[in-house]
Amino acid sequence: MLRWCWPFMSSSGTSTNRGQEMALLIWPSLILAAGYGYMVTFVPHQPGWQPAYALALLLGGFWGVHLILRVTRHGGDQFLLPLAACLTALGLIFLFRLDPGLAYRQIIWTILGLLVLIVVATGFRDYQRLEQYPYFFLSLGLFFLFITVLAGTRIGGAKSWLTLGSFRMQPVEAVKVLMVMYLAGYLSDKRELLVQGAGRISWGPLLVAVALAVLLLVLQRDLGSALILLVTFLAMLYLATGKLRFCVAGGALFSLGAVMAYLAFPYLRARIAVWINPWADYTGAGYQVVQSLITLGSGGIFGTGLGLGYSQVIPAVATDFIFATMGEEMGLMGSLGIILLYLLFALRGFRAALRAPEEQGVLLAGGLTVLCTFQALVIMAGVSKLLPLTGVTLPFVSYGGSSLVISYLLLALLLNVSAAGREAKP
Amino acid sequence: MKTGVRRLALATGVIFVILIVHLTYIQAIAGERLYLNPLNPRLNLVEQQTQRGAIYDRAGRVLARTVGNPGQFQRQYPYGPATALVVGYVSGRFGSSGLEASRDGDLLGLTGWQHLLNQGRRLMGQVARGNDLTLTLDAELQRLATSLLAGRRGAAVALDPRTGAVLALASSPTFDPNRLEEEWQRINSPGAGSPLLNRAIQGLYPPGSIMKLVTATAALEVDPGILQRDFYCPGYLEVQGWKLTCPRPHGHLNFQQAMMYSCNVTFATLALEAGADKFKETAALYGFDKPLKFDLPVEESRVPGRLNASALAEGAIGQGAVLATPLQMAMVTAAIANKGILMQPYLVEKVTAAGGRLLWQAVPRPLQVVTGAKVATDIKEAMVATVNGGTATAASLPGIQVAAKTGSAQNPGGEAHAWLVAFAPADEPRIAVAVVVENAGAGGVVAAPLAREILAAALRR
Repeated sequence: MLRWCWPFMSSSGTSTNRGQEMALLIWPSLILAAGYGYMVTFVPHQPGWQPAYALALLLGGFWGVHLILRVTRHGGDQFLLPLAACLTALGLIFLFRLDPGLAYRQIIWTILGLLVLIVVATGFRDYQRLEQYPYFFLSLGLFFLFITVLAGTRIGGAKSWLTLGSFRMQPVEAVKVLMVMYLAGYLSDKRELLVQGAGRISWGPLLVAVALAVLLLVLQRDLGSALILLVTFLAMLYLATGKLRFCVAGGALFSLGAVMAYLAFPYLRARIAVWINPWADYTGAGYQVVQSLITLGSGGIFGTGLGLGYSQVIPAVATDFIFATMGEEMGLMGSLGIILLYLLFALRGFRAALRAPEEQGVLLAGGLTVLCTFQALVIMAGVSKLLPLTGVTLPFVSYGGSSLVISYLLLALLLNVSAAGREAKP
Repeated sequence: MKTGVRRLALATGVIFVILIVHLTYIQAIAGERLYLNPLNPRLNLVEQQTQRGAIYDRAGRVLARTVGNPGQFQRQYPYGPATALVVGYVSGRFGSSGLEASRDGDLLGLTGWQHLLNQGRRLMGQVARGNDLTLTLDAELQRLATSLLAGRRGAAVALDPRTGAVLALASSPTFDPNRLEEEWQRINSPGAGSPLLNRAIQGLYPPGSIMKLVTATAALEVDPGILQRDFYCPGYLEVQGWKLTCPRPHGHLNFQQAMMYSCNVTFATLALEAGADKFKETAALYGFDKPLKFDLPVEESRVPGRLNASALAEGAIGQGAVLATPLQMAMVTAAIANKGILMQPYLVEKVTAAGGRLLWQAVPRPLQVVTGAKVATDIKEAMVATVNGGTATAASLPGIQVAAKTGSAQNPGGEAHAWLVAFAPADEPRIAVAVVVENAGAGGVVAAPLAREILAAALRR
């Protein structure tokens, strides 16, 4: 497996081929063009919006980013942007099919995300500068969490929303990236001490920070994010120390905590019961999972075709369950395609980590890659009942401003790490 | 550190492969089953654009048909309450049940390649046409059985022992699927006696003395010599300080007489001699403690896992924790009638496309060889004697030799459940029946005349 994907992970020497990126951007452009065709043919006209403008805006956005990266001679990986663009384009098409109103808002979020990408990719190209203040990120992340616990709004079980007037955001998305940035800085700083096991004190802040974050997430009942954070933490710890036993110990601690939480929280027991047999309560707690399974099954191998599915019966279909819609309308072929896009994204992310000149870069790129792919995995597996369902978004795809913008921020950081020490071919 | 990255990449790859395999299973392998699940709201949409196939009985009599035009399709059930629990109903409001639910895919033409064809038709705005089902059921026999049970709670099952074809599967009380809207309130009221429950396959009853057929099979397999043995019944048997009784002391009797008068003491003794393992094993061969593949959902009949001596003695006479569906007891009877070979029961004879082209046909096949022909014949002779001079004389027919066994199952709900299983003609059985009437008293008095009518009607043709 490792040998097989090696060419993809380690190709193209030390320089980045922006021409390849340009060629690959044709794919998301074609997807968007197909979506435009679908939109003008089947979707009722939305007042105040022109599909043609939307198409132009998105194409302009993706190609604009490419041009800026090219002009600034950014050495970032040439596969990451087309992969993310493919995912976002597909997500937008399915959002249009589910709810054009949401899709138009999502376009704005996409443009915002691309702006963040440009700002971070050009303005903070030297990511090590960012990593000089790990405690700043930690404080910011914990602040976000505290304020959500104190003033958050509960939507769909998890109390993870902040409401400001008519504007809503999910700070937890930012918290996850902030924690990775903190851990990258902290772990690379204290790595020697941790490996030797000498500086017992240096474990303190680390464990406290992570435990606090997880605890807060559990208080918010955002179990998916808690799990993702924990796995990312363990992965980064493994990268920093190279010792599997830390991860095994962490995993054991986590299992213990999970068992205790299972005994302590009735809602968690209900969640697990639904996972084991959603059919037992198919009108109540199991409804989402049952309908999601039926939706995926109804798609079969080749799918029903865009717009011909019936996944709108699933609550939260545009956010957590968009993968079910894709699976129904594009069939197994389409859903495997999505999975492969994430797998390729992961491989490119790990490759950036592999090529990073120093520890911080390895930790940052590795952590961010695990964060993004594991989140995708958790929700794709949850929708198909491989894992218990936890409401997290599908990165780059699901509807949600916070999630999308943060995903592009993550992409920008990965680009910067992969660019470190490399020259771009013009 | 770099090795760490490589290992993480490898782990990610492995996890993604697991997800890919799982999703392939969900979408490609389980896909059709999930799609045809009655909880799928897509089926309602298809329903409105598809002329649902008709359901016929074995003689081509219509049990369910669709009339009207697309958008205003109406489903009619000419046999109404008599076939309601087999055919079931389909309704936008109340969902679906019976064959209408379990054979939805056939009736709407949604299985295999037909799915694509009909989907294409619907996309082009044409009305798709589902497939027709032909059942093994005899609608007139079914109607007779239902009317015999009318006003009581119970069930009647008739099988062709040679093939396993289900001729009648009646349950009472029942409901009228043509008037579902009006009847729904009454159907679901607590006093209605659960008319939506198909007691023939979903009702679990203590089988009472009918279970002695299973006990007899086990005992004869262990020791064929018991046919010549002399038993003595003082009216009770003490097992582990627990007293098992007979209605009266039967005194000295042989195996056949024990069956004729349904002697509890003798059969409990035989079971204790054969042992719990042999008893359970024989019951399992007859179909107990196993899921049954059938066209409708069948409740699993059961013999408790661990039998101590007193539980075994109780189980041998069909009391205690032994529970069986009427279909299960009809299968026991049919196996004895068919010289020890139990045929797989089936309800759908064939599936035909709208033009009459045959798509699928049932093939009768043995489910289990339960016992040898000799043992089956010995039990049959005892059952014949039971009709000719034992507890089941009320099941006898003029000119046709019937073999039968009665049962009166004690239960916490009041009077005994009246059971009778029978097959006829004894020499060349063409039909096997099982009848149960809840809380009605002695099987020979209440259930036997019902079974007799069903046998007579079936054999007259």
